[in-house]
Amino acid sequence: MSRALLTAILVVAFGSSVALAQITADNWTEKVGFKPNLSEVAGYAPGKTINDANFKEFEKWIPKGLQVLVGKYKLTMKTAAYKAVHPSKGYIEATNQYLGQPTIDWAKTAPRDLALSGYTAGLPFPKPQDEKDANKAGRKVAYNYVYNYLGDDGGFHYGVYWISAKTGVERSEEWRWRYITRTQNRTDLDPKPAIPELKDKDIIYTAMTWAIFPQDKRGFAALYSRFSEPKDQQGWMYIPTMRRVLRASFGTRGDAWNSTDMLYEDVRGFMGYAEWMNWKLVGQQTMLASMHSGMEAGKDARDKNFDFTNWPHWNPKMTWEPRAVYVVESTSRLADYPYSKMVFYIDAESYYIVAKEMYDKKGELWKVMINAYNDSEDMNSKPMRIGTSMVVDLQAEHATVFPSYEVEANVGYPVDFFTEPNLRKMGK
Amino acid sequence: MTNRIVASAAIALAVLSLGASSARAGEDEDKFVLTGYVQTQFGIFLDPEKGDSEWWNFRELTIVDGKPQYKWAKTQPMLSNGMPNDSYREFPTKHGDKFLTPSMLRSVLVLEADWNPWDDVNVHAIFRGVRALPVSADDDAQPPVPGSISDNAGWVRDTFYNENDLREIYVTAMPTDWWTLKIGRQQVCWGEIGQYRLLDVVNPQNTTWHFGALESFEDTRIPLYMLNTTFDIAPIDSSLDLVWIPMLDEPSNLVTTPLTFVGAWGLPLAPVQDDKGIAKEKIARKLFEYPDASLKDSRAGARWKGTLFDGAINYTLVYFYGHQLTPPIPKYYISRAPIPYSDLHGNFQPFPDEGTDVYLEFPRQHTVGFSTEFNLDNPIGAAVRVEAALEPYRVFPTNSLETSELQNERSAAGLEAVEKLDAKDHTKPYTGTEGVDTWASKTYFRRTEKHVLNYAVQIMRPTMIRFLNPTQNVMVVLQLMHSMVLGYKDDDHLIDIPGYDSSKTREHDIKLITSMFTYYLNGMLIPRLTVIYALPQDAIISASLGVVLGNHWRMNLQGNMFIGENPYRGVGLFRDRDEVNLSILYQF
Repeated sequence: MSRALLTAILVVAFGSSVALAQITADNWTEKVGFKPNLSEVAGYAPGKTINDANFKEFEKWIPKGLQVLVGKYKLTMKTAAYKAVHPSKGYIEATNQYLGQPTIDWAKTAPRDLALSGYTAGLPFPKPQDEKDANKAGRKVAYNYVYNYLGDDGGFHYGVYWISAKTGVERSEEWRWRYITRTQNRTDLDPKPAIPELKDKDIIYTAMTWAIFPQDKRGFAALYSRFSEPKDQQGWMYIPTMRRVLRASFGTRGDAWNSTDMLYEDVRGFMGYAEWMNWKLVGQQTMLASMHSGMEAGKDARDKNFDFTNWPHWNPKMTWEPRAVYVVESTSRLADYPYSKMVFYIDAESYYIVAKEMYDKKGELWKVMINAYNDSEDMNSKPMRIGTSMVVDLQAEHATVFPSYEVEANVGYPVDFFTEPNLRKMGK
Repeated sequence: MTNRIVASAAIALAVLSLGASSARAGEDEDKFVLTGYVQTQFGIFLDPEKGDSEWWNFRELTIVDGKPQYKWAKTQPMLSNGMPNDSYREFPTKHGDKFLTPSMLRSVLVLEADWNPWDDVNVHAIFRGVRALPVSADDDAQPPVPGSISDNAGWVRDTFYNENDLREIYVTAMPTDWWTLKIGRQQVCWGEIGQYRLLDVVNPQNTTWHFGALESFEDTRIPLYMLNTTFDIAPIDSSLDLVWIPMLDEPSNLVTTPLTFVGAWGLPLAPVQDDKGIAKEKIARKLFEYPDASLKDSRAGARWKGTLFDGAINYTLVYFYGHQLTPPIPKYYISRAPIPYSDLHGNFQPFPDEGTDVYLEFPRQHTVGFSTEFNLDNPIGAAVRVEAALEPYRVFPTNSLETSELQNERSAAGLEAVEKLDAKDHTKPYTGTEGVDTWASKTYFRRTEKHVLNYAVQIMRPTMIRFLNPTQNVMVVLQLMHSMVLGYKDDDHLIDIPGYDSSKTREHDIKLITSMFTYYLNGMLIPRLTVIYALPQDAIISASLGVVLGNHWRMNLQGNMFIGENPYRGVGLFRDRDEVNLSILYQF
């Protein structure tokens, strides 16, 4: 290799890294994703209310599943201006620090083979659309989702409402959920980037969840952990009526969580490994999503946040804004998966899944999922707060909504909270 | 007095619940949370043939190669004069009650309170109030003093069904991160396999109101006052539990409640024994030697819980020194011979037979065992649990024919075959210094000790069976339990239940359980099927449909079928008690 060529390569490499290393809170969107096209829909102005009477005018910004919710199920979308978001200072620094290190072994196509390597922290693949191959670009978007910014730990106090379009609210439950979201890819809380005792066990995520209401669920609790390798999670359950902690089996994919309309893997949009699915980037577009939903926190705000009274009894009352999204189609590499296809709408700034469409084995639209978020307490140090999550089964005309009562992030929960002895202590 | 205290506590809980309205909505930060439910459970017997009694002809008993042989007679034998031969005894081979008569009717109020006065201190209390209707099947109850109760069903209701019980009240304190202390009346549940109580040996059980296997151990365990402490040893992912039971509870609550005391879901009327020596009609009283609140009777145990291979396998090691959880063991009987006397007219009359006092005990029992639990990853995707327990020197009752064998043994050992008793107190042996009771004698039952090894394996797998349920898994549970009597000899004539010679103990007792359940309509309907197969010929089949209605109402409709070849052995003891059972629950 000639000296001139080597020099040229080094200059280009240095130049590139300098250019990419300059990711900041201010340029986050341009550097890692893309901005929404706010002028592509004529007649739209922030503050406009979109409903079943006028949604056709804005259908370019309303994906197919959402159109059904608006057109058939009377979802009303109160809109507001687009507002940019960015992750914490620590996450941005980590993105810069480890930029270019993550690599994907494209030859590994089995769902249980870990294909990602070299990832430490931050966003693994800024601007995934630069990848020319749609399948590779889709996979990079998926990894960006899996390692998006959620804070290093957090807690969620939430409700679960089972709702039938025919009969209204069937029943409800109340749960708490605490998690160490990032045990090995930490950016905000010490120790960084990994908690040694959890890294030693190869745990990348651990969580404790427990039911508070109603009486026959109260006291049920579960502790579970996920690992670097894309294998099944491991965990325990405390069953109050048995007064025992039992090891749980998570080997079943495509199973509904707690008899809701949501599968275990649907939690937060997708609660699995990128390796479990095939991903294909099929588009980049602007759509209406709820990144600053305006939903009030607390149980008392439930009726303000949802219209449980009027048909179809599940519609949220929240604010929508134009968001840039990657549209990613996904099919399962796991056998016997209930969805033939999923279409993810992944926010191009936060890499949160803001909407998702699930198709049945016949290829017909089966479910629509919406995730809404609220402002961060402080974007430089904490993530956006969950506003609500909801899944509508269009074929059964049934929905499950998850009102958010309280959200915490970067609390610094002690590791020994997430242990089997502590799960036992939480029981009778 | 006790009832009054308990009732006061219940009223206090109820009053507190008025102030805990926010707690009912479920805030776990509340200092005081009160929840509970009201449940009514009703069952009816379904066997249309019940009432067509059969006869068991004991006069035809013959001993072949040392083993009793029975013959069945469908009709009562007649005397030569054409009259029924009343020396033949009738015993029902069909149990339970007639078609469509109630098998149970029980209403329960449960109040469960949690109070957190400080962060590291919690007070937990459970009150249970029960009111039941007497059911006619309880007329078959066998009270400790036969014939002493004019209204068996009412006695069963008042003694065993109705209750106002502060079942649990204990304080949990966590003085340090690694030390937890629970003091008070509570349940302790050891072992991993729910359906079998191999290591779940700390609390005794009361299953008088319904068939035990169909009810939750949460409801059937008898809570006891105890000291229960746990030391966490975080560096090695392990913990040590220590339990001490000072036996402060009512003596009858310290042991598993004998099922002879009730009729509807108890043991059927005991048949005449093989040698008719201590036949039911001769038993004047059953006297239970319950453990008491003394150090020598107190119970203690330890459990070590640890993990292996970075938590991939967890295991426990258990030791417990308690009392046998089996039916009580006959220890000896005192028989009083009829005393002839002259009546007022000077005529010679036989004195009525005073019968026999049978003394029963609850022998001490060591239990040692281990359990382990691990997952088999995808594609098997199942949780596997294995549990084993060794009960050294478990005491077995023996066939009543063994009484004479015992006497021979005692004679050979230079002991009196039948002990003479003190004239003043015939519960005490004659010492030679006081008068001897010439009309009473004390005869020991044969007491046979054997080591018993039990183990069980459970596989639990959530399984997607899409054609049955496209969105929810079907939880499939398979279980095997094998109980072995080590050093078993046929000639020992061991039996499982004293007074039931036909309940002959098997060297290998094997049970298989299959259970499946799933959820439909987003969890509103919960069908469940359970089949228990006890080799070689017994089975229980239970099918149920649970219904979840809103946040408050729960319903369960269940059909239960009992299949047993021998009416006085195994599941046969419960045969023909096929029933449909409905429970309706309102929770708050």
